[in-house]
Amino acid sequence: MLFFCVISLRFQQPSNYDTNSKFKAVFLYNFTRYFEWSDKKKVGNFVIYIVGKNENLISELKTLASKKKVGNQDIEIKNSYSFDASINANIVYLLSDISKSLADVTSKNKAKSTLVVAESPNACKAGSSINFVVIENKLKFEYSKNNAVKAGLKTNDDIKALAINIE
Amino acid sequence: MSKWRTIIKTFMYSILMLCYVNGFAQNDRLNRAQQLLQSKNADLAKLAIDSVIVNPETKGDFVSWTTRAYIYFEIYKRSDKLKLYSPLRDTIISSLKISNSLKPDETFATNNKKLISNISAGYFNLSKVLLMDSLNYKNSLMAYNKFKENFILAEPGTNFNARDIEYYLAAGSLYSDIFNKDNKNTSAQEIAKLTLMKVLDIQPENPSANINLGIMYYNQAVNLGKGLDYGADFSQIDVVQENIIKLAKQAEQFIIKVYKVDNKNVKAVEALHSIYKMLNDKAKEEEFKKKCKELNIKID
Repeated sequence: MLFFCVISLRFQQPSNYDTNSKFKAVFLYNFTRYFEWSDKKKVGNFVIYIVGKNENLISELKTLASKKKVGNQDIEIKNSYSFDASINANIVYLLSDISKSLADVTSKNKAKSTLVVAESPNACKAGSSINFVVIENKLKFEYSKNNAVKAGLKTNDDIKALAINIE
Repeated sequence: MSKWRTIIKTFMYSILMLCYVNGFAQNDRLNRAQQLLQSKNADLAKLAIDSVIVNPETKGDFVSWTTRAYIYFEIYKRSDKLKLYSPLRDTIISSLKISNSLKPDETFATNNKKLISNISAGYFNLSKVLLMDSLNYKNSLMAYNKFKENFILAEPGTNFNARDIEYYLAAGSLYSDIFNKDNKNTSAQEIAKLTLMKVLDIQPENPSANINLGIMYYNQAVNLGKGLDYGADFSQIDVVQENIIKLAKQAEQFIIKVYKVDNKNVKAVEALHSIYKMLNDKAKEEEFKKKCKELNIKID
């Protein structure tokens, strides 16, 4: 019986794969279908700039970038732990640890045709166009059309049906 | 008239004589079978013993049946030990059962018990081989049940709960391993669930079964997330999220049972941290992150 005893004491290991990072990556890619960037931003790479620390998300986005395009543009992932205004991005995603910089980021990106995405309470009221929220364990997003328009993006109202609309 | 009486009388004597001689002949055959067994000539012994057990003189003798079991066992050892279905083994078992029903003396009863224990051990080894080498759970379970069925003949009143737990845990652990490595192998997943649930039927608080089941549900949820295409639309994301939440909550139910009994169980604390992270429950994720640090569990 010792033989079975040894096997029976083996424990499975929980996978360390981060499903939430995967969802965020898929959400971000989906957002590109509902906005139109200025002509200047339609040339070169489509830059997704992550501000803050989340290695799993960066890794997911890099995989996404290797598999998908936005129109004809290749996707490029940039990351820094604090906001760098010199990075000319199509999407700036401020992670929760950097949420204090939100007002600064939105003011610096005004009319620059940049979609600002955040993940902190009341981020849309603070200027973000999209804000990730969790409702009943599910990742959802708030949307502010006003902020998107102010950011110089053409918007598609279909996204309103999918979002929690602010204003 | 007296001539006929003499003829009938002679005939009756002859019949009686024949029966008597035949009786001796049968006992002689039994002795012969035993000698052949001792001289390792099991095939000839088999022929002899098979005629002994059909004879009315000897078929009611436990010695005949035990001898038959031992003779068949010699042949079984040569060819059938690793066979799940063996008519030779079946004959051994039925012979031993008949011998036991004929109230054998202490020596024969002990020998019967020894042989039945040997047969049940053979079934046990077979269940091990079929599970580990052939990954044939169905046949392994059949062998395991045969092991129990025969073991109880040697040791009546045995409680198999502890053995069942070990067997089903081993099978569950093995098949959840297979499923975790290949999440398309749903039959492995089903076997793992079935076997681990059997453990919980016997012992609802069993930590290994609860943790392995919980982690299996959790990993199943992970696999759903992994499988989501980057180009999936919002409705597809929603469906996958729903399913992941359901699975994570199922996982939580199993793991929390272990945690409630032992809040320092490293596996439970680690798994709960992962589950709450998956469920976007920040407060609980932080709580278990802290516990992981306290228990020196490496996370992320």
